[in-house]
Amino acid sequence: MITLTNLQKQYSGVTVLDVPELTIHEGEIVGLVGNNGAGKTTMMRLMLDLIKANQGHVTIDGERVDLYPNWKTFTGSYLDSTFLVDFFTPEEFFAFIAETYGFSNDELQSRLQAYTPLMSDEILGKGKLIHDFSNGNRQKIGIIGAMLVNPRVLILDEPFNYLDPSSQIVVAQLIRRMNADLGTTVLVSSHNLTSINDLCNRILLLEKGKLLMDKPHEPGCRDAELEAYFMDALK
Amino acid sequence: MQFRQFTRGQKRWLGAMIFLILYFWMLEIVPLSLVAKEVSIPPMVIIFLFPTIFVMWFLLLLLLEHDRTVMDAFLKTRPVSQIQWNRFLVISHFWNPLNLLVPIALAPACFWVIPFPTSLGVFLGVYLMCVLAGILVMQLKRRGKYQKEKTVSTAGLRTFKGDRVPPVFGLQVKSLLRSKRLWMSILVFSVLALFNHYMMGSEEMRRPNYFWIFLYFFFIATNVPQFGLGIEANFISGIWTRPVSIYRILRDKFRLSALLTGIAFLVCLPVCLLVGTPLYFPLSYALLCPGFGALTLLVDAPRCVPFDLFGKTFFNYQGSAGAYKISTFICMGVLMAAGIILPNYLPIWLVSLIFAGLGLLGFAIHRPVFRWVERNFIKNKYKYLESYLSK
Repeated sequence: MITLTNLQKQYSGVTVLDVPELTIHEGEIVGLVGNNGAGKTTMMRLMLDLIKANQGHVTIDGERVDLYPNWKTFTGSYLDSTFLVDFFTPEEFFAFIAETYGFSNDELQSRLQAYTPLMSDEILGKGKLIHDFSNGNRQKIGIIGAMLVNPRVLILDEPFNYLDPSSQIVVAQLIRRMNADLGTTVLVSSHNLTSINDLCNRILLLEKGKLLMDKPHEPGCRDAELEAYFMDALK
Repeated sequence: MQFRQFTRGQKRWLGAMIFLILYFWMLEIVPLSLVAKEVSIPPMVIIFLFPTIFVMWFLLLLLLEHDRTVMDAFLKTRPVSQIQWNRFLVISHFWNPLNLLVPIALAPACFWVIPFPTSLGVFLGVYLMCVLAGILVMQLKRRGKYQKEKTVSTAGLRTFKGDRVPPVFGLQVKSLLRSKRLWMSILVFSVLALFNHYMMGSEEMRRPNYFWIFLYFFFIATNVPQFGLGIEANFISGIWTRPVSIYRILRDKFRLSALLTGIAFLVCLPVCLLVGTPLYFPLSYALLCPGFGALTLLVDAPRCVPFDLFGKTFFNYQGSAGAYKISTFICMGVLMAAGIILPNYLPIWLVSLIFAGLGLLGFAIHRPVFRWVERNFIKNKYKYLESYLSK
């Protein structure tokens, strides 16, 4: 379970995130939506202890992430390219993850089997550094790196960016399967409402740092209220 | 426009070139010319000079030159023919300041030792050899593995098996091996330092001098630690959100420094034996430089800026050194001064004993020191993380 308590982040006196109370329950797939600058990435960075909150705190499994690093052992995340070791090949990067999380080479290869459809013969065995891959393939490597550890908590920032439609479908399937098999709690942000609608059982709408909407959702259904909000935002 | 861009791109070499020319004039060419003036040089030596320079320059350019052999996106989408582009590349090699380095550096020797007009012929011949070597390198880099810009060879690393370096330690080893900026600087400086140590100790100029052998070890030991966590700063989110400790990264950097210095000691053995340097002396430097030098630099490791491993510039270190505390600078200054000055005033065995002792002390205390640095990092984690991520 993830809880955000009175969480505030300001940059140069401007509040970019202000969430008084939020609880994400175990096993939920939560979609985080909002226009640019809504505070989605800031919220994720605070949850991963990458930036300092001006007020409040985040807990995972009852422990504050800024005080106890235990969450790192069961949390997988990918927000941007600073999560990738770009002078490694994908094989080396995955082996690096396996060593840090303490699973063997054989176990790594067995776990990677599940990601074969996503890699679609473009990632492994290419003899290329991550630095030299396309944005789409780097995104795939980052997502696989986050999921490879069979996390209890998975945090992905715009995972569908740069991906072709087939890969977007595969990523959504992988997340769903992980959630079903391992009970992983998932937080996914995206600008792609269709993907969020298809995947999530709860949707959060952030706007200018404030949580405007928090509603349960039936995966696979369109959300008229959400669509209406974004249509209105254009006016 | 392309020509202006090209020549503007070469400007960074001008500074290095002027420095190298002055260096060769002052330390190598002029003293050698004075000696050579006394004896006549056989024509065979002069003839032999041309292929030697061609081969040496060819190899150097192969290592140093950036890929300027294919048209950029701007030109590719314009009506510029391949013939025009080839002509531009050939002409630009006659203008390339890098190709002027050797002829200008050798000019005093040519005109002082060899009578005119033969000297003019030798001078132009050397220039032509350098230009031809440049054109040959260009031709070579238009094909094969050079065809693709920026790609680093990872042959043998296509599978999970066969990689002998543990992945976390691999962060250090592979960042070094795959960054031309890092390994190239180590290679070039090592060759230069060992060559100078040999020259200073050779029969013609025999004088006790340990300046170069000290710089050799100092540079190799501190090359990676000088950037602190600058390499990791590029993927700090990937480190911080995974169970990898800062202590482990620092310890690996220290171990790599010790490993490189150990290899450097083995490499310098033949030169030291040739010039009669007592072996316990380089050994003491090999202990001092990582044990004291690298350790001191790593204490300041969190105060760094991200280091671009794939940057093409050879000498620009992105101001990494600017992030160090004054106290670190003073420590390094004292270390360098001691390494260079003490051997001239104290018996060599005593100096070796002091240096080896200091180095061993560093090795003995590095674990608690890195624990302390890690605690300090965690105490100020947001300051460091935000500074890395904002770059």
